[in-house]
Amino acid sequence: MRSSIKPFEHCIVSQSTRFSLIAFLCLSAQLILGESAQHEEADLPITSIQVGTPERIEVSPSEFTFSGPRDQLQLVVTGHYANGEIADLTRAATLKFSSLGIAEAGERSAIKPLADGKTNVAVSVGDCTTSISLNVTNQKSKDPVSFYYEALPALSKAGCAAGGCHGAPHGKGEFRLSLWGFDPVSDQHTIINEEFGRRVNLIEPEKSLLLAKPRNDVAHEGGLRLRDSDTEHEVLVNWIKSGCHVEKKPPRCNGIRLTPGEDLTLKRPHHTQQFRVEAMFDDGSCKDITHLASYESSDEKICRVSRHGLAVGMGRGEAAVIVRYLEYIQSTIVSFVEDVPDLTWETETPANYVDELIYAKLEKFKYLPSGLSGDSEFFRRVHLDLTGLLPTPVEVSDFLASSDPDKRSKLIDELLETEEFTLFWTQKWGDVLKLSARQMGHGGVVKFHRWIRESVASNQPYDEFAKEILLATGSNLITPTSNFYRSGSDTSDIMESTAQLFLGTRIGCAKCHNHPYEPWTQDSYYGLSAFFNRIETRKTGRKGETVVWMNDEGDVRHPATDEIVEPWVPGSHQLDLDPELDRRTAFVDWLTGKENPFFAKVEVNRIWAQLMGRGIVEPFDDLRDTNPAANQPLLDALTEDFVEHDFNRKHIIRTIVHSRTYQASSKTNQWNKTDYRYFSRYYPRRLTAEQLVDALGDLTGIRENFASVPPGIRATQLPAPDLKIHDREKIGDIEFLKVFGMPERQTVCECERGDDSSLGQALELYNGKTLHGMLSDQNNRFHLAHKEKQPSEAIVTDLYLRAFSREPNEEEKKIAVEYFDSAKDKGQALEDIVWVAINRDEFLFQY
Amino acid sequence: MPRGCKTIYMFVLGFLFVGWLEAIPRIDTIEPIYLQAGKKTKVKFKGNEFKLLEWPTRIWTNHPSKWTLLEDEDNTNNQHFFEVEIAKNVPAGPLAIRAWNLKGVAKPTFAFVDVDEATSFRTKNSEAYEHRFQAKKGQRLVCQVWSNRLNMDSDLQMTIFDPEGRPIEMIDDSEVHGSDPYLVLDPPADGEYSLKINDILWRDDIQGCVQVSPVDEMQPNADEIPKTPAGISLDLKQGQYLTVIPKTLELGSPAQLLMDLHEPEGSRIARFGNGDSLLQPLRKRIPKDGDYHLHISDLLNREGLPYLVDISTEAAPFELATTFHQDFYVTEPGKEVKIRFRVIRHQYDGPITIKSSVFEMDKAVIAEKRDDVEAVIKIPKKSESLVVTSFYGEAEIDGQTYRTTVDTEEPLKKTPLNMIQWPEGVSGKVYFLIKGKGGTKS
Repeated sequence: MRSSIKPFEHCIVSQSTRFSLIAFLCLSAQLILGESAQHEEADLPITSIQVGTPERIEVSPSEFTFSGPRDQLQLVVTGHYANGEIADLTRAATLKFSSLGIAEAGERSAIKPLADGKTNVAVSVGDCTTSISLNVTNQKSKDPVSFYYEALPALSKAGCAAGGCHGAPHGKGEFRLSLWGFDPVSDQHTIINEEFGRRVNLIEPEKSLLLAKPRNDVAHEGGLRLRDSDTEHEVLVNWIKSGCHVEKKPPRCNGIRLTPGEDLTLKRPHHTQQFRVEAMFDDGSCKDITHLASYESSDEKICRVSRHGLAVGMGRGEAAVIVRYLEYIQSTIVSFVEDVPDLTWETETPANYVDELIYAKLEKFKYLPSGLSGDSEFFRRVHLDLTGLLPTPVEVSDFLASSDPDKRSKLIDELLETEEFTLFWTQKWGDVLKLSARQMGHGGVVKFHRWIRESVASNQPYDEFAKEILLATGSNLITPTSNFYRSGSDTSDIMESTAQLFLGTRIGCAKCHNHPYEPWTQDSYYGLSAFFNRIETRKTGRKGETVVWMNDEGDVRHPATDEIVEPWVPGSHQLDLDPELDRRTAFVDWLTGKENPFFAKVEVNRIWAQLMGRGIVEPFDDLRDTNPAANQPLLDALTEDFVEHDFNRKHIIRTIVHSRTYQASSKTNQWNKTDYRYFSRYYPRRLTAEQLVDALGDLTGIRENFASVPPGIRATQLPAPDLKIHDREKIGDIEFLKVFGMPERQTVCECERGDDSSLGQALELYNGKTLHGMLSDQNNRFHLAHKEKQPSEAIVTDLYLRAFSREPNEEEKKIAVEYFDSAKDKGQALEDIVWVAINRDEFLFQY
Repeated sequence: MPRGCKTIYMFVLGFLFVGWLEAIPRIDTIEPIYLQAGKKTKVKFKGNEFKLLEWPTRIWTNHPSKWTLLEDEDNTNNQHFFEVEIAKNVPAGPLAIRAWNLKGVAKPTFAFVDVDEATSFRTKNSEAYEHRFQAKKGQRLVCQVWSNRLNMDSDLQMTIFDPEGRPIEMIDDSEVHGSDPYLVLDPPADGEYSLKINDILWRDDIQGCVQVSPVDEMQPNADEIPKTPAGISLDLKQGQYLTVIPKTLELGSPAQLLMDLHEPEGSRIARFGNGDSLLQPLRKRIPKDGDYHLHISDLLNREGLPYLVDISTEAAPFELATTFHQDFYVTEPGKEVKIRFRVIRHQYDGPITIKSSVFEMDKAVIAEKRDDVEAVIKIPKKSESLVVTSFYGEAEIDGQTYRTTVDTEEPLKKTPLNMIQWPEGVSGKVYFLIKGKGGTKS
């Protein structure tokens, strides 16, 4: 069970559910991405290069110095064509050395040194030739293999130090390495000294357990990770041969550089790209570490990367190629495009910049957007998105009958001003701010919920919203926002929540080790913590009351060095802190500043995800270079618009909902069936648990009543999932809500709201207590209509208008009416007809 | 019936019988919950064990009051009717009421007492309670609710509507009045106003009373009341026990005091007020003679808030409490009662003598460095049926006598404390129920 994991001695943390979830997510991500890294080129669909007629070729690097016998050089050869296209021609290049015996070329235009000397290399592809100069030195050096910069990267590249393997906090099979080698001192001890030194065999290095296991010579749960022929194997053997030498004062690696480093677009048939990776050191040296780096792709459906750094396009779209060397990460976005036969590009007229940017991206990847949704489809969708509720039959009929060309715009504006909009969008914030009686007490929840509601109703600018929450002090019953500080177990937890909510950064990993997919380090984590660690709480004696206050003393100490960590914010700079002021003030000023690259972006992405079903960056609160946006220009434009409009959230909602992109049909066309990412259509999604309960209540006329809230409050408007005073009290059918994924609000991640399907859901919809109760209730609207002797056709029409925001077509009407008329038990027949409607995707989904 | 079952049956019957005999009165509700000082009010108690054997139920209150059982009413074991007259000079606020018989004393229940009128109410399920009142422009009125301050488990909010029916104010918690809504209203126009009161969790049957009364404009010495932050110089001698007790709640100020004591050289030697209690005093034994500096600020750094502190070098450097689970004893004349007392010491390790102004005591000294003692209380041969008394502890330190009363918070904790502080005269009282031989009437 991962919840019992204790990462390192200095960062033993409570085994709370929250931590377990974060740890699980971290490790899952590492496992998935880590496992995907080891592609052999033979296993990838690589076609031969069609060189064509490039105008010129460019080779990187243009000159290079080998400074040791184990150095290698990977060339990257790029062809430039007359039409502006570029292509990676590395595998098609031929290399000719001006002086023989100095260096030799291997596969993929990789060069190995042979002897000291200088040589030029003529690189040719087709008719194009260019040359580079090589300087080979120090080839007789007996320098041992570097533990820090060769052996540890080799273990990482083999996957041994990945989070899913021995890099897990407890390791695997009694063998624990630091994640991606971030703690070399610990790894040195583990590999060389632990278990009486039996992991390495200095006399017969090849027989070392360290190698025999990943070679699968002896039983290895992780399977085959190394072959004799692998570079990593050779590095590790030589390191053991050298007596497991560990440098006393190695130069410090300052980072890595990727070539090509700019985002690039590859058009079929050019669907591969060789990468070259260099590491820079503080002694001024620079080494080609292409053969020691690890490679991953953010989306394996679009792109896979071989273990030698060759990216291969798998389909249309873009993906981040992620390169790791020890704790250093670099990534670049590669777009793969291709011509689609018979496609005629034709779209709706863009309503605003959203459509322009979406259509531009779709055109690039040749995903033709679906047409505009019908009025009925749009009407139901926009009600569910903005109010959480289904529209009434009268509203539907009026809208469908209206010939006003602006009726959609007018509807959007009307819905944005409704109380239902306020309450529904308050609930969304309640989810991520962890409003629950368990965390904040009943009084705290109600008051915080009221504050959020007022903030949403008044369309409080988002920066002010964040400021009020983060700078809260005082009684949680009087200053409702101070309940935010009751939502976490400690100030570190609060800092992590803040980072995820307002910076879109999941920094929790960096508490115990440097972040595996971001440049967040432990220094970053504790630097950010220093803004929050002086927050204190005290109880007053009043039931449920806690006062949040800011101490004027107290520092954060780094768990590894025990040194005081100064407050720090991303951007590699420290803020000027007034010692007289609450430290949070400086942080919040930086956070909500218009130049902050994270703050506005994460909110517009969150709003987009709430309306479109998935974020432009997905997950929407996980912004990082290694998780590329589906449409970066759109994200940037929305962010800019949001900032220009003083963080006006309703403006962004209105902009999105007005777009043709939002109003597109959810039906696919021939050209966008495979698009799941670029918003070529509206992606259907299941109603949330609360929406479903309300929809069932509205459909049948039997509404759920909830405890501890004013009469008439709907499930989509509940302040918290656990707002009941006594266990025996009925809060409404909470089991139904739980089965359909109502979150308990234990984390700030909206992923806690489940959207998957389950057997429990099927059973609930088949004959569950809630549904059965509503259907069989003799006072439901259909039984009452029958008792009032309404015509069966009218009853069916009413059912369709309520459930699907449309009238039944002739066939549907005929089937339902015939079934009803032929039934002996009319009441039972009605229940059957309604049950069928409820179990249709058209009811259960928002589309 | 099998023999085993019979035994169990007899045991259960015996247990029930003993339980019935041992029953202590319990007051669940008092109706109305507002009692006007200086007037007679008919009151209905609901609870249990009001008629117990030959011993009629009696009432004890923390302020003078006169209770008369209304014999003609439908008095049962679960309800009793009284006429009560509260003395006119009883201060406005909660009146603690306890019923007693010779089996025990009920937990305290509270009513609101004031000479000004108020209206009692109960919340109804999912419905706000509405109260109407006349107001004139230019009048200043205090609109307030008493419920949580009467120890009700409630969290009420109040909305005020103008004569046109428009909501003009919504009031929830405040630092001074807690969960009970409190507002000074300047009516914008003449007419009939209304206020609606509901529990924030829409709970049913919550008792409270609402009062709309003119503002008392008398605020004597308002300018003389110190404000946060403030510095106070203290000339202190080595060995003195400095105690600074916050009294800000009594002043009606929201200030939460953070108290820093600096030694003559300037460095801080004590900080109090950041713990888990609003009422935590600063206590420090002075290490050397000199001019000390007491810095008083608001925990939330608010400036200009009135505060009040009681600074003393005569307060005892220890706190005493009883350790028994109830604050009453059933005994007989001439007998002995053993009570365990415990002490929390503040830089004082010496002996402490427990005393009573009513009873003689034996073995009543908490020895040096010890935390508790079981003292023996000698009940006189002639005594009233109910003796309500307090204990106190004394210690002589460097020629100075320090004295403090023994609190009874622990047994009172069995009554859920929804308000912050017990009203005067509740904590510290111990009840001796002295049953004369042969069933002497009380």
